[in-house]
Amino acid sequence: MPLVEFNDVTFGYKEDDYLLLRNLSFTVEKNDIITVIGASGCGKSTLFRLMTCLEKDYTGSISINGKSPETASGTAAFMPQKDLLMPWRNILKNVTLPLEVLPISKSERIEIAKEALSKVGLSDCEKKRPSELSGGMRQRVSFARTLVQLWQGRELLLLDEPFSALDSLTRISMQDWLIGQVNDLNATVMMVTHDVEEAMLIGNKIFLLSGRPVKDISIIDVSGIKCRDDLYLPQSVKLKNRLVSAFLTDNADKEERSGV
Amino acid sequence: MKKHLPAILTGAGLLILWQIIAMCINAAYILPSPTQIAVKIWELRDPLFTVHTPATMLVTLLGLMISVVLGVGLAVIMEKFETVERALYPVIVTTQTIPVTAIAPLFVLWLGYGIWSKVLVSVLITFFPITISLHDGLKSTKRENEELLKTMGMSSAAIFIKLKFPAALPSFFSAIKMAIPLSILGAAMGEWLGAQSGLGYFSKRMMTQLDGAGVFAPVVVLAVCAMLVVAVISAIERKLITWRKEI
Repeated sequence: MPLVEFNDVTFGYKEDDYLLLRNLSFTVEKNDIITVIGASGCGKSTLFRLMTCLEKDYTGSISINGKSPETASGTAAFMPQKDLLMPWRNILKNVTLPLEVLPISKSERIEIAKEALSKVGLSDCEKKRPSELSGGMRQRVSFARTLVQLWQGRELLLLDEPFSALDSLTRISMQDWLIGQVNDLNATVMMVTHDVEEAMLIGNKIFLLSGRPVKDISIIDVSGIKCRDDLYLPQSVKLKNRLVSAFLTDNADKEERSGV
Repeated sequence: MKKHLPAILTGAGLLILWQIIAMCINAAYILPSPTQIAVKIWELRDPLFTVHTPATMLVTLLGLMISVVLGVGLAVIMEKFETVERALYPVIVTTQTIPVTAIAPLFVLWLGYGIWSKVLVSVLITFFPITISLHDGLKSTKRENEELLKTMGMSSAAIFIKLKFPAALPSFFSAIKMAIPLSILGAAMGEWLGAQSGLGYFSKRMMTQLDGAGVFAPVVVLAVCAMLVVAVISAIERKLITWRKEI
């Protein structure tokens, strides 16, 4: 049974007079590492919003681990684009936050959070405030906060453009760091990104969203790309050019439709 | 200390100017000098500090406490229920358009010359900034923060406790600091209309005796009390909210 299944899903935001997704169907198998790419505003993050039950007004069916998003609230761990750390909590307490809804003791929560911080290499920052950390470190704390949810039984990791706010050098180092983390996790991962290279590097499969509204998802196998050097192989360069070209065509279509 | 130097120098300059003008006028019943007021405070220290200041502070404290309970309650309910917000917000704003000096005698009629008519004046003036500031603070949390907590499986109550309440604390403290001088003002205003004790009552009594320094003495005490209480609240705020500039 697939972990995620979209079946004929149609959705548009109430405030918009157009649909984002029309009769969209796809599946995600357990332990897949999927990167989702597509033109700006095509509905990539909306997929996550539907899966985490933040949007409910759709037609068709969505199934997460065999349940609807409404009843599968404990299945997905979501990492947003911004770190969204709470400035009034220190780093350790920011990481314990998702554990506070679970029936576990405070000492246990702290142990789990400490382990997560150790996993992301920030053990020495437990008592610091978010403002004392760099952008990359804050994203790692955000990842640790998501990680503790996986350790508590959530099976699906949803990463929504986690590095988009970082400068290019930090981004490269965070991508390499994330590859190691994701490979260690043994979880099902879906990550939205705007960066084609990032999508090829981190994912085993790429979901390419195209069209307005999105009706189909092109699935591209990139499991052969294991490290950054593989991105420079001729077939990788060819694939990258193809994806960029698809991106540009879709963006041009969007601009034409909006009269830009 | 260096930070406060401009304020201290300005204050000292104004006091010197006041002293010079008062000495030129040389009519203490019209404009007493700062030194005459200081002497008067010293002379009247016993009734001022043992009877009238505690009476006014009691009214202030009760008014403030009721306003905090009322303001926090209203702000929370309005944040939670949009219909209640739409129904109450205009009414709350309207209460502030009523001249308190005009309506305060009614409170004396209703509640008599005891402490509660003054408390009501104080509440009427202070609950507004508390309600509105806290309500705005509660509304200020970003949707994405709330959504993240929802994905973690948190209930509305948990989101309130873990996100909205801490995020609204800076607004709450700002409101309290604004409300303290207003509460003291409200208490004194109530005492002016009729009381047996209190700094407002004392000031009015001195006025009937054409004692200019005696009128100013309780005013100075009121101002000092307000500054002291605001300083205490500011110290608590600095201790509790170290992250104000980060949100």
